[in-house]
Amino acid sequence: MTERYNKPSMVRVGNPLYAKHGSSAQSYPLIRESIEGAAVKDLVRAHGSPLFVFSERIMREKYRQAYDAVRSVYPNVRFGWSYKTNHLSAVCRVFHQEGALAEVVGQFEYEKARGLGVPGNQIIFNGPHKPMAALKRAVREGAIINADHFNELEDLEAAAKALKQTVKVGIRINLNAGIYPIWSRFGFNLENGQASAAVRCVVNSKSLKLAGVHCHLGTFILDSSAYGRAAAKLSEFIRAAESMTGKPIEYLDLGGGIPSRSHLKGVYQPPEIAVPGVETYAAEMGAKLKWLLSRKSPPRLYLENGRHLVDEAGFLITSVSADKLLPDGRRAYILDAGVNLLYTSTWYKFKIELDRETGGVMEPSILLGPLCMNIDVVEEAVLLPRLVRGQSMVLSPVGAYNVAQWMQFIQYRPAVVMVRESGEPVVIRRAETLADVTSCENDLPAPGDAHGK
Amino acid sequence: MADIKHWNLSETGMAFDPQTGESFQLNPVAKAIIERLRRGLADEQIAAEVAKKFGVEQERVMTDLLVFKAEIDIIRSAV
Amino acid sequence: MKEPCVGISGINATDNPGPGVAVARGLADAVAGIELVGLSYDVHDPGNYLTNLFKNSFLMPYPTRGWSELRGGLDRVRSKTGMNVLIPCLDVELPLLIRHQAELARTGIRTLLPTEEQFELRSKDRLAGLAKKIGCRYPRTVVVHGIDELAQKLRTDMPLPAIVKGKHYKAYTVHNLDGAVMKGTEIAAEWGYPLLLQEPVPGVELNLVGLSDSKGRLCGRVVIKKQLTTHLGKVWTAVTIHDPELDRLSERFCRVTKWRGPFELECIRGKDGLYLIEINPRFPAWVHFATASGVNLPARLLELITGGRCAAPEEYAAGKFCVRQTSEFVTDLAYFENLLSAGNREGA
Repeated sequence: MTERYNKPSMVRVGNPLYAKHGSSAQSYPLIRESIEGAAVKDLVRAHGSPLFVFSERIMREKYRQAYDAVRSVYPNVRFGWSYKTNHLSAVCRVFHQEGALAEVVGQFEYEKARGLGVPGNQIIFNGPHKPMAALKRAVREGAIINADHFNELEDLEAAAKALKQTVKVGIRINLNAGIYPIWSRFGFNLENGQASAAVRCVVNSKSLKLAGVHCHLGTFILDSSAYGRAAAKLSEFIRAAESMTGKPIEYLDLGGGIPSRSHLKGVYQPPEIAVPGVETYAAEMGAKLKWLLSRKSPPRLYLENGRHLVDEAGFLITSVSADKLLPDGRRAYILDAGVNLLYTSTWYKFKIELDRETGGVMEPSILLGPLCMNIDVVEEAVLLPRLVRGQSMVLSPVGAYNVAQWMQFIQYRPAVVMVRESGEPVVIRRAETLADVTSCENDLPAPGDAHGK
Repeated sequence: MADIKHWNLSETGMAFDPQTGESFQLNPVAKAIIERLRRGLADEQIAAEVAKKFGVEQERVMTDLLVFKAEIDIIRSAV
Repeated sequence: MKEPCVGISGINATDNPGPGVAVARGLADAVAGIELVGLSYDVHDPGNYLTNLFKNSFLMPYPTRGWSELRGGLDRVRSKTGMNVLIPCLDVELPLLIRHQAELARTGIRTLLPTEEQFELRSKDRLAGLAKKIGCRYPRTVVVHGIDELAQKLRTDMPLPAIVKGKHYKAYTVHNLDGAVMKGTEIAAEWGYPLLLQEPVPGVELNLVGLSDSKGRLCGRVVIKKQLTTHLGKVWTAVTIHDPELDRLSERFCRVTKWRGPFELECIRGKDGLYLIEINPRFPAWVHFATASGVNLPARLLELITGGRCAAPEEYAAGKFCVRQTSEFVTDLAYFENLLSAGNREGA
């Protein structure tokens, strides 16, 4: 039998990248030939490369698992699907079908949720910038509004007057839950009394009514006990606020921030060890919110999940456009997807799975994107066998934030496919065309003479 | 290009340069090429033999060979 | 069970040694002809080349790549050597092995590892609580999650000098803010956050290696005082001592936690008594000192793993003197090449 032909490949033992990442003998390429039963090569043939692929099954599974975990410790809970994490209509619809409200942080997202048929009172409206028009609409439509600052309370007061109605408002609180950094730029600070002042403003207003309190600690919080500490501090605050308003609050909102099983750069242990299960987070919150359950009608608990629900459901298929050897001995592969599509590559190390076995020596490699920009690096150092031009690889998890923060820069944005629970892959966003990009533009030049004429 | 005439090649695809103390890991095609370079064969002959050994076209091997020869020094000196 | 074939990791007997080679020496001393297999993460680990101790040695996938890869590596070792006992000796591999110890047992690889709960109890950010539970002092410590916070704590909460520690590895005494930031950044770059800031306790450092049988019984222990250490704090010379208070502490530790397997207590005898500094969930690198002083804990561990019980605790004399010597040996480059190309020394 003749051996398989691969391009000749030679690795110097002692290359520092090699030393750090192990040798061929201890690292094997991961292989993935299909996503949820759909063959990678068929997906590429039908929809091109790069291609985002979402699994409906994983989304629903993650949702149900998280929801059951929280419901078992605090029954009166609703999730708000975080639109900023991924606002693709099909993705939002899956979570709405599972029972999620919409959690939006700006006018665009509010309109998108309404466009998808979500009624105003099923929308949680957060964020530091709510234009007056959007705020008025949200008030009129009965949205759950969490105010970020005193100016917003003034705006709500004005909206209430203009619409001649009372406005229910939640206030966003930032607090020290023993984790770093503290997201103190959002909401009213608890420890310095600003949050109490906000409650006093609401109490003082004829047209505002305090409906709830909101706190979003941050993102990718690995310390589950931070939720317990936040819930405990919020509990204290609720007691104080209720004594000021004389009425029980209707809801408390503990925001998002629960991580996915993604490998944060700088964390040695694999996500399966470093990232606690969602039950741990639920237990931490539940223990500190138990006291509310003895009420005749306990306030509703909202959680604004995004990353935790969708990240692991998203995959990016990307293909090798070219390879070259860098002066430092690293094998560089130019992929058709880069930081234009993978905003989260700055913080996370993706799992890299090849579409086929190629065999041979593992080389210290770097994965570069297609942009004509030095910073366009998808993975700085990884051991890979010699890849073949045109072959694909699957990067994951990429479901959170990437198809939201991607940009049309140098390249078009690719298609997005959802593999339905039936196993059928369906395009949920077609690939961008020139017409999509230019349709907002005005071509201008015509009048006036060209320079020098 | 590096003087690889003295390199020791092991069955498992390791090359050892006794003049510098460097070790290299080779895939089967690189090993086949280095073996022949060491014997002082001409590029055309190396390409022909390797193409036959692996059952691929000679032109393809020739291109890869020329690229590889240029890479050997880069890989040796990379730190 | 059939003859044990024991896989041992941490065979990096370098200037910052892992305990693996010392564990292997203990087993080889106790059981003539025992089959030992080295598990290594680096082709340069000296243990890979100790042909008289290990019948073969394998390169393993890094734990950071997750369980499926590590399990794959262990499966390969098992199928090639008949490995049926595993004694992991490195902190970073423990979380994965602890979580999957039942699965390991099902595949025929026996271990004696702490439970996840026990392992967490002694994590550096929870150690203060455990110290209280077992009745021992603990130096004032704060946990920080970033360099800004580290600098801020040193300005407000924590006097200098202080000790900057990684959650898993590395500890440096720092005398000023710049040094703290530098060392903190260095540790975080390698091991991530959180970092710990600890008030140094003046006094004599004492170390105890022990073995607990999972029912709360101490199966043997040796206490040493390090006399001279390398710049990494590793033993250069040390003496065995008897310290009844530390003995009692180790007994309480076993009783309270029902600890499973080997452990090391790092303590400081300060002016006002004994302080617990750290608990390592494995044998320390100097465990051969205990073996050579008459308390062969690796052998007792193997008895516990294979038979569920072990011989009565052995005693040792105070005043045994331990000296670390470094030396070299010459071997064949083929072993190095086999490790790189086949993943194991013998090219199996």
